[in-house]
Parts: sequence; C-alpha cells; structure tokens
Amino acid sequence: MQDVRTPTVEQAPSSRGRSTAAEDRALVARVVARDPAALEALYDRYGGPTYSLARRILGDTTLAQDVVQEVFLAVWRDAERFDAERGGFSSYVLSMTHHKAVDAVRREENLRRRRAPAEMLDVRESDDRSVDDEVWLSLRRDRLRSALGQLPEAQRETLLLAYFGGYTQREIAGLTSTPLGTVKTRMLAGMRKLKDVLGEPLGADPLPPGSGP
Amino acid sequence: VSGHDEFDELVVGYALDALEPDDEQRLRTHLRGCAACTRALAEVRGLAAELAYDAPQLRPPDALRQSIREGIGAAAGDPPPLLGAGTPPPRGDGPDARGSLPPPPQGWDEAAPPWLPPTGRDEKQVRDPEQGPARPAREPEGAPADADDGGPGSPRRRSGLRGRPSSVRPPSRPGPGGPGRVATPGGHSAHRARRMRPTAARLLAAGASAIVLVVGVVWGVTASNRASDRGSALAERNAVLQLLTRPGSRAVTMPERNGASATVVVAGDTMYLVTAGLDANNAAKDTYVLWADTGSSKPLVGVDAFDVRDTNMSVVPVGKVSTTVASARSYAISHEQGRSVPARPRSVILGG
Repeated sequence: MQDVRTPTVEQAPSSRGRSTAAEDRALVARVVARDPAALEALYDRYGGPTYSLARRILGDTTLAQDVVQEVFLAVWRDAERFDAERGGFSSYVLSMTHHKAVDAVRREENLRRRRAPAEMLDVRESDDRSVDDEVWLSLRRDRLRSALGQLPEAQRETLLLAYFGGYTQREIAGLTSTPLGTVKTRMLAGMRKLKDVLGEPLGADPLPPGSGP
Repeated sequence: VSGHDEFDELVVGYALDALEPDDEQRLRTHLRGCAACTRALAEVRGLAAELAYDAPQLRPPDALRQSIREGIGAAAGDPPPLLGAGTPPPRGDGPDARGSLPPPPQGWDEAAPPWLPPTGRDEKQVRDPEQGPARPAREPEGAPADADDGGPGSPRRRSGLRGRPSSVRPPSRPGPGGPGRVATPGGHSAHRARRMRPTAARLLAAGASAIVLVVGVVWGVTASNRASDRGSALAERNAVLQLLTRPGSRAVTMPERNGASATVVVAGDTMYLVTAGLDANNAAKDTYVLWADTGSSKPLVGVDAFDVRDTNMSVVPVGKVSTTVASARSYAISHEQGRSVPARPRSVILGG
C-alpha cells in the first residue's frame, strides 16, 4: 500500500521524531475540521512510535495494531479534546497509546502471565522490520537509554516494569518484594532523576504559540 | 503523610498508568481543584512519553494504515483523500467508525479520558494561530524549481534515509553563497536554509534544542547505511550529541551549495564539524580546510585540515579551539591541493 502523497502530507514525510509542536497543532486543527489527510499526516508522524510502544507492551502484533487503530480513531473522533496547553501532541498520543495498551494487557491477563517480568526489561529486537536506522529515532533512543542508564537499578526497574510491563505499583511491590511505599518513592525519584538527566524534552517547541517567523 | 509529596507520587503513578483504582480516584478528585498538580501531570506525561522511545522502533504493518483509513470512512479503492475535496466522512460515532474494534474497555470513561486531567476539558478548544485551511508554511521564496533532484526537501530524501547511493548527486547550481549565520533564537536564519525542509529551517530558528534536531535532519538525509561504518558513525554521533546537550552549545550551518552542507558544533572550546555531501578527497594529495570568519576586516583563520571519507556524512572532531575561533561569526570550507593549511583559502566551496 502506498502512502497518500497529497502536497500537504508531503511536507512531513516520515518526520515522526522531528515534528514540531506547532505543525502538530495545525494538523490537529485540521482533523477537528474533518480533514482525513491531516489524520494521515499525524499517522505518518506517530504511527511508528505508537505502534512500537504498543508492540513492546503487548508483545503481540495484532493486539498492538488494534490499540493503534483505536488511538487514531479516537483522535479522529475527539480531536477537539487535545489541548495544546497541556503538552504536545506527541505526549498526548503516546499517553493514550500507553493507557490503551496497558488496559489491553490487563484484560489479557493470561497473555501477560506468560511473559516473565524480566522480559519487560529485555532489549531484544523483535522480528518486525526495524526502522532503527532512521537515524533520528535511534538518536532519540540512544539519548533515552543513556539517561536510563544513569538511574539507580531499582528506580529503572520500577519505571520499566510500570511503563512497559503495565504493572501497577502494588503489583510491582509484589514482583520485587518491596514495600509499596518504597515502590511509590522509587517511581517518583526515578522520574525526577530522568527529568534532570534528560533536561529539555526533545521535540519540544520552545516558541510560544503565535511567535513564529 | 501530608502535603504535596503524596500527590507528586500519585501524579507520577498516574502518568505511568500504574495506580491502583482507589489511588487513581483520589488523584482525579484532587486534580479538579489543583492547578499545580494538573501542570505537573502534563509535564510528567511528556517525560513518560520519552520512555516510549526505549522500545525498538518498528515500522507498523501497511494493513494498519489501511484499517485506520477504513475506520474513518476513507475506504480502500476510494481516491486518496485530498485536502478540502469531497464531503467530509461521517463523524466517527457511527457503528462503522470503530471498524472491527472491540467495545471500549471496562471502566472506560468517555467523559473523562484518563490521559487527560479531568478539569476544564470541555471548555478548552484547540486554539492555534495556524488553525484553518493553512498548509504548513513554506519559506517565502519557495522551493527552487529543481527541488525534486533528490536533495533535502524533495520527497526522494525518504529513500536517503536508507542510504542514498553516493553517486547520486544533485546537479550543480549556483549556491546562495554568503556566510553561515548562527542559529540563535529570533535570528533570521530561515533564509540561509533555503533548500532545507521548511521544518528544519523553522527549527533552526527555535534555539538550542532545535540544534539537536537539525543535526538529526542532516543525519537523516545522509547517514550511511553500511554496517561497517555504523559503529564509528554512532560513536561520532554520540560525541556530537553530548556536546550539543551542554549548556551554551551552538551550531553554525554553512548554506548548502551544490548539494553539500556542513555544520560546526561548538561547546566551550571544543568543536566538531559535521559535513554532508562533500566528495571524498584524496588523502594523499589534497585536503579540506575549515576556516573561521572572525570579523569583517580580518582574514579568515585556518582552523583545521580534514579529510572526507564518506560523502554521505562525515564527523570531524576538530577538538580544542581558541576562543576567537569558537566564537567566530561564520565558518567556511575550502578544498586545497597539498596537505597543509595555507595562509589563505584558495578554493572556498562552502560558506565564506
């Protein structure tokens, strides 16, 4: 199947990682106005990262596709719910993907039980075609990995079990034989440390709305 | 436990979708009345979204795009949706809109999607100056007529992501000339990048974090796909990235000329040069030289001689430089016969 190549879509070919927040906002505004090409342009940008996230959480290509489809149809239905003042579209769409994927993994409890917790921390490449050689994405991944590498092991484990494992704080306490309070503290400390190490999020749009050239 | 520490923990747990139902309910109630926690949640969500990039980045199956198209009513066989053409598809709340998806999960609260804070949702509209039929803005001067020659800005650069054959070079054309300007916030750097994608030009104007993005664009266009090159390319790239994340780092891009471009990255007194599209030189007979323009009445200062082995991309670790060179207003590259840095450039090919 071919990408739709309208002139508008062409402006953002495969530019997932490089999308600017302002462009995303303009695309969302067009989705609100029922422009399917704008939704497709958003998919060009975020289809890869959302699919990769869902695939990692679910460990299953079919379920991952269901989640991503659900996410983009929700964007189509409810684009007006996206509030640029609460963060970028990237964060919005990945949060939604995460939420739906975690929901799915909890529904498919047996699916998750078959996967050892250690697998959530695994870094194996999967059998899907990788786009890691799209350098921007790997750049971004390197940066994140390097930041995660600077976290104490217990904090990193807690964050990854929650984010990719879809485990609740209480479940993580059980899995790691740690008091629940400690799990909560580690999660907070881990995110604070990550924030310090990463600094300004990549892809952030430092220009306030309307101050463009 | 009192005060906001407890809510900080809950906010983080909420952003990671890791709260127990009772904690989740407690936080939602709190968020309705706490602007600080609502802001904190948005920030933590942005951070959590970065974690997504720890996953191996995969290309979604083509069927997924198709099922989304079908889901929104742009079914297969229809002409591709064109901007503003035809009647809009029905709003997505009809039975077809969900395609074959299962019903919403148990506990799904349509009125308050859990990835949004529950306050003020209905009053907020997307307010955007670019709203409306606006296409993403192009540079005023527009793309040159030959923009489809495979250079940056043309659709074919997509294939460049997978390693453009280095023999495929854009045809020569007169370059815009002029010295590279420093990418500072508010600087009018867009014109300098006339053949760069508009996105990249705008990012250049956007300041420090954008510099990282621009280097990403350069690499995106030119990165070698050869496995043997990848190890060292990665190390070089990481070194540049480290440099760029240091406070006060800056990048100066020389305008593209004849399909070649180069960016000087400098933090403190450490400099790297990233070239793209420069022909490999003959390391036995000739050399490239980097020059610094330190003032209108002063001659160019020779910074370093370097070789280019990979036309696609080459990272030159220039190393320590003087303050004068580090703060030069622009840079140039010349191609010189012989292996030494001459007193003045004989054949400037970029910048200058």
